[in-house]
Amino acid sequence: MPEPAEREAVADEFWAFSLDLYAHPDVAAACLRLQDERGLDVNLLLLCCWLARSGRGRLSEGDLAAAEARAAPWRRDIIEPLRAVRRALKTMPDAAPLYAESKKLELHAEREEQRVIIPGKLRNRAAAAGAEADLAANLHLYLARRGHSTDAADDLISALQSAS
Amino acid sequence: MLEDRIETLRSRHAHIEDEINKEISRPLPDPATITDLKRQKLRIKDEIFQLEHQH
Repeated sequence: MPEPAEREAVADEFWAFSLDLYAHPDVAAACLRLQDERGLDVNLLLLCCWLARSGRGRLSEGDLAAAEARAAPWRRDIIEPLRAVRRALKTMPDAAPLYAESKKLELHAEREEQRVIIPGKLRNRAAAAGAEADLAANLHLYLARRGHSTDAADDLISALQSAS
Repeated sequence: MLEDRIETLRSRHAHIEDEINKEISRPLPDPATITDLKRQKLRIKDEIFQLEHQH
């Protein structure tokens, strides 16, 4: 297990990568569709992308199972209730300041979830030529584990290619 | 107004990036300074993201 400071730096790197990627509207839209229509976790989708594009390669079944197990309580007990509150506030008249706060809190919770889903053992190597193949393999693994056809990742992969 | 704020933050972000590059290119870069600058950069990136996704 890496030292706490090293894990902190890795978590920062993952978060910065996610903010950059999510700034591309097509990527954000494709992630949200997978979340809303197929029940997938955006942070796990981003983890698949980050590991591949940072040269850390492919997720194993075990890594993914562990990440899903750690993500589940965050998603179910914290992030989804916060999201429900935020969406309710959005429709309330005169609730704009509270809506902004709820959004900030939800984003903070997303970041905390990211910390817990990073695998304990990470490869450290320069980004490889096969990063895009690793990215597709990671996404396909996640989709297959959740019982979806790998085609479901096509829109996201295409948005990611345009964003790189 | 919002665009001005985002622009200011982007400029600060770029400035910190320059500071990081300067520190890295020094003969004996200070890891603590680099970590601190990277944290500042990430906080600004966070703020930009929140402003851009306010609605």
